[in-house]
Amino acid sequence: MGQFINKLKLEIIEALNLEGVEPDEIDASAPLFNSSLGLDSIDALELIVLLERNYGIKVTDPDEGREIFHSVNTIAEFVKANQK
Amino acid sequence: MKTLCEISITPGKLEVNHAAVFQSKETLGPAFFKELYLEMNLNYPKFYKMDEISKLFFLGVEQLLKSGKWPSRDGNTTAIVAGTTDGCLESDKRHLANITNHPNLPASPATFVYTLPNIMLGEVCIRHRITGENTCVITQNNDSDFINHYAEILLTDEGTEFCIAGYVNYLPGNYICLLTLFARDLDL
Amino acid sequence: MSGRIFITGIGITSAIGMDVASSLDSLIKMRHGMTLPTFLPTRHADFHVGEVKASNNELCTILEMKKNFPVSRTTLLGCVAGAEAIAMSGIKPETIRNELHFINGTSVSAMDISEKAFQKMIGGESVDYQRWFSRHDCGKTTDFISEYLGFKNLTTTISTACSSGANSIMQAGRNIKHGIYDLALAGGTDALSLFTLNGFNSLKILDKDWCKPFDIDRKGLNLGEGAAYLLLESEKSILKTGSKPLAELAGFGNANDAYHQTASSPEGIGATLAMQKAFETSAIKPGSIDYINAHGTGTENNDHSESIAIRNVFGDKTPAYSSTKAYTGHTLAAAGALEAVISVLAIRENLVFPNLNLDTPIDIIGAPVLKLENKAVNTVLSNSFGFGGNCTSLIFRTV
Repeated sequence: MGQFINKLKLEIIEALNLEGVEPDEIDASAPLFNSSLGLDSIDALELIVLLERNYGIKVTDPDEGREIFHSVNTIAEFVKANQK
Repeated sequence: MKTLCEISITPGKLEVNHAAVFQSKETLGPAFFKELYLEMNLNYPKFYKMDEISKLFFLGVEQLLKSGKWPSRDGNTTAIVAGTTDGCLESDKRHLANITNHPNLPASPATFVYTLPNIMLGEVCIRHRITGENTCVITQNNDSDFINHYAEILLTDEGTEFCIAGYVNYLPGNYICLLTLFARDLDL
Repeated sequence: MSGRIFITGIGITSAIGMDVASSLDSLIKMRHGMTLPTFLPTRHADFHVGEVKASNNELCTILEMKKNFPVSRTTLLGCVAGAEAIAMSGIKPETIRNELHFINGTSVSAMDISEKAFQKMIGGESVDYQRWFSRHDCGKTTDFISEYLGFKNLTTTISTACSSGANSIMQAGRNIKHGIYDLALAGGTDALSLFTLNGFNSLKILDKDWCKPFDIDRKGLNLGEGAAYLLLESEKSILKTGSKPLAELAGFGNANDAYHQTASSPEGIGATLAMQKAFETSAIKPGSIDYINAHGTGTENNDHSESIAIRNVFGDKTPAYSSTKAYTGHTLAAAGALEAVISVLAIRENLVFPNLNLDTPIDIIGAPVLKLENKAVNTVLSNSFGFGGNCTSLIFRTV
């Protein structure tokens, strides 16, 4: 899972244009939003696109996204549970 | 109206009041903008999410307000009047490519957000808490007569104290940002 | 001279009618124009949109234009509405050829053509640049309409998202007020396109079903298309042209919300400032407003934010208000202009047009008007708020 978490972090960094942020700097269990990463609602929507584009998983309700995108760990768990 | 400061950004060069203050061998837009951003020590990560023209305008305004000693408490009496020719064309092309090449995937919201020429003004307003009048016009070239006249009306007749006015355009390989910080003439 | 800004012609084409008469009939009969897409070749065929009920070929026939070259639907709609506004004034175009300033707002411009051409290119076809792309940019749409209407090129193109049309009217009004010029055609036009439908869908602010502005269960906006223009004249110009004023542009205000690129601040800062500025420029007090034509897109965010802003400005004395976007859809750059024409009609007819498709109102400023109301309408406030935080309010007054 550790390797997948690292891959996911890199995908998130690229998708959200988090220039200069290294995977090590993101705590996989810490909240992604309301953090020093400064993510906003557009970033949440972009993560929905990432899930569909990279993993074939559709999230249609943005409210559902709030739980899924809580942290890198919750995203990883969701992907593992739903990946096609 | 009074002119407080003028800046220009052209490939590889930043000038303030017609004197070069930063030059780089790097002329390609995205790379030069990143150099300038780091040189200016801005610490504003949202910069990296912006599209090319928004970055260009953002950097130009950042330098303009600093060199023009704009009082940051006056955001609500500061207006912005900008002209552009190609506007957000790069973002438009990216979004159009996304939806045409990948019709079964959702479009990127982060790209779509920038497919309006006035978003670059919005970014600057968010950064500096500027709530005055904003306008973005499409002009064939740099129509400084039109832009400056518009700024003058705002400053003389409509209670605006400061106006960021100018022309900004981005095409790959060719970009320009020419801005003036005007202030109301207190003698009137 | 007074600096007063008179409206002497109006033109409109949208999902609810090809012209002023049919649009007014729809407004009165509460007949909305929202349907599933018929003309737009989209795979999002389950999204309600507000289409003008005419194909491009039919529009070309109306305009007596050749059908064999790709003219943008945005341009065609603009020509239809622009021609109506001029015709209504009774002024012969050739007599004002060198005087009339044309201020046009658009965001889509010829993207509807470019996206078709792009698909051809991706499919391996060779595409003639001149034929397909040379009229792409916003300025070219303005120039084409201006030329079609018979005016020398005194043109301005404003592109500030959903407040473009309103800003065009404000810009023209301001210049007339300050004596810069005396005669202007101002408004906006945008056609539906795959570009915008896909883009708005990515922001998850569309309602697939018919939109419900100001309803507690609203799910988002419906996109629409259309064009509308006002012919504006100074007092000096009216003495020369002899045209009859329909109403007056009494005030205007623009402000930036400075919060987010695509969402409004919860406190409605930009909207509040824009309305306050409109009151300042008009010397009209909030208590005199008979009707607010709200921006009211039907998104959770806008309708909440705008309600807060209305409360900030009007306190507990909110006038009659409604959003007419459940009639027409959100016509983007044209919206402020469409709603300016609707505001003028409200004044002319002494009618307040209802907010359709509302079951349960949000509990901030009371319910909007739900049925057509016959009452004296002397002063109307019209709001248009665009992405990039660009907020504009216009005040219209009877003459």
